[in-house]
Amino acid sequence: MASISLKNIFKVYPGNVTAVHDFNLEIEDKEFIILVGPSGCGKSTTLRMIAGLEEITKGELFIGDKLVNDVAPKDRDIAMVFQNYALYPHMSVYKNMAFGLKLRKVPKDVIKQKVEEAAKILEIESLLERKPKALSGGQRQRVALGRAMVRDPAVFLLDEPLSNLDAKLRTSMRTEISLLHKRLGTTFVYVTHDQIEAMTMGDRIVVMKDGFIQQVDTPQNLYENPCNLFVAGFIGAPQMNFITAIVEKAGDGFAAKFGSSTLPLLPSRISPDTASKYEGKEVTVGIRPENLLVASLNPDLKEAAGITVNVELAELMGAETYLYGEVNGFNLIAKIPQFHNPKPGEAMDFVIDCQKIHLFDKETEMRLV
Amino acid sequence: MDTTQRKNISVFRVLLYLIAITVALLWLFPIVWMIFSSLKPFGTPVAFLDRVFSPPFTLDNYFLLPQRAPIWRWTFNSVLVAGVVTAGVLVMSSLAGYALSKIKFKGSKILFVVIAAGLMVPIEAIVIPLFLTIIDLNLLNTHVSLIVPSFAAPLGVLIMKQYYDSIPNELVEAAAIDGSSYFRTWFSVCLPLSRSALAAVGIITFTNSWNNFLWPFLAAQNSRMFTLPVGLPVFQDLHVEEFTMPMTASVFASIPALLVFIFFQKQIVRGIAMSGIKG
Repeated sequence: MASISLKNIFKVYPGNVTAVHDFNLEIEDKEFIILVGPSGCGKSTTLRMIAGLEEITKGELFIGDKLVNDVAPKDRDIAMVFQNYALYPHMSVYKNMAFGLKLRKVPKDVIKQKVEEAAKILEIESLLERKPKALSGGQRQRVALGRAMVRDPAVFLLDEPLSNLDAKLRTSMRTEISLLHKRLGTTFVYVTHDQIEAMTMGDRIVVMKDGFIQQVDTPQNLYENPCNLFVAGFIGAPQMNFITAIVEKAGDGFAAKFGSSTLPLLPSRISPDTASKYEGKEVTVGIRPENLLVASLNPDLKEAAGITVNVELAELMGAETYLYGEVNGFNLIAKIPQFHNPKPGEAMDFVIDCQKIHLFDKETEMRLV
Repeated sequence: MDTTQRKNISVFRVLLYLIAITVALLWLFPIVWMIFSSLKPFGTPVAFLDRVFSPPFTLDNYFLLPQRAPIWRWTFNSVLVAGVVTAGVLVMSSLAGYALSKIKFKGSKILFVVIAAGLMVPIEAIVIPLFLTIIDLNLLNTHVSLIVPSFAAPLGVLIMKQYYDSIPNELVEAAAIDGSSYFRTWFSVCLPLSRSALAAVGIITFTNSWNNFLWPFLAAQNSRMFTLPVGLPVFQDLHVEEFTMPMTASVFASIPALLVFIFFQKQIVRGIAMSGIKG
């Protein structure tokens, strides 16, 4: 078990391409941390630097108390699960799992015991004599996890381990990996581009973009208090709606006005001091799809603003409906109860829960508090 | 498909078969002629086909041959040289190919170009300096001089590097995390996965070494050090008016190569396809 400390880490590739900029992160012992972001954001490079598969251009990396910048991967006490499993095709499942222990000269009976124990936990006992090509995607993933488990590493590194699985299997493996983390009580660093995986599995999430950390927080905090427009748009599905509005004085307080609609700016969402600085200026208002509520179902909602949305498309998702529409030139998505199935072209009244709107500076894209 | 089209295709196929059969016969005829000539009594003129292909037949020449030439010694030399060269080239090519493909080091690309450029240098261009070097090292008429220069095999390195490029880097990285050294990763992960490439390189090297004439002709000046391709022409020179014996020696010399071809036919074809060069 070990904590990980990344201090001012940079990764610069030949041609002066900087993949990771000044990365600072303290990962607690036994924590499940997720690195998430779009392709090319530097999340896998960061993971590979922790693994020792990429050289660190600048900065310091500690695993436990040990500076490991120049330590070979095999001496970092880590195990890694790769996106394409990276199982040795010519070895049986047993030999794949035993390989690392054999190299460390662990006695044969101990290897056998550890492999069988891991196989039991992962329910792959019957597959031990099979070659990887005779396994399904899910089974291969379990073997890859087993290979990492038998080593009892201080840190588990997982590089998009579920992205090659189908949707159903991905959901079940997600749960299994979370349970495995709890059971093993080891530090997990998990890379994904899938924000659902990030939200459901991690103790904390690191959102990255263009090699920079955008925000490090718990899933709930990230969702409720995104620090900037990128995080607000990246976390949550369907993504947050963004509307450009002008801050105006409204009675004792302030309001954001767009088209014919006016959203009261509550002091709980933006302090009057900040609001006054933005008076007459444009801001970006963020509204989560679930905070656009059908007016007829929420007649008593306080601190709400009404808008009329012209419906363009309704997607039935089973338990709920995603409704795509337009208001004052802005495209919006609303998540509404399933039994409402409006027709395209229909006008529908919504109320916005003003307690839950988000405000961002139009230029810096940072959250206004 | 209409009838005319079908007819055209079948005519084309018949023509194709005719050409293939003709080419096969042209290729087979000298071999059959050689085999039949070797089975004729000593002194039979082999230029008269009617006499070559009609009885009497005998195996006497095969018993006489070892008495007239050190054919077993030459065979031993050929097997030893081709065998050790093949083993050496396999080890060196796969190690070099692995390093060029999977290990990051400065100058690897330039090194690869230099090795690949070696393909363009014919043996004739280096044979004299090589010969002088062997003399300086006092290695003339030794197995070492017959074997060692052939270890430098750019084609083998090229094929192995190309093959290792197709093995996902993640396997090598997984092995590194598992605790494997570069050498162990080559031996335990990459080598077992490259059996088809190794077979291709092995067969190309073996057949080239088996048929090699120029270098063994220079490096082996004592008849006991001859390989079969060097010994046979010398033997033929002693039989300028009698051909059944040289034909017998040729059949004898062909047997090991023929066996290799029979057992590794598939790999030879794959090897030719893989290298893009006739073996």
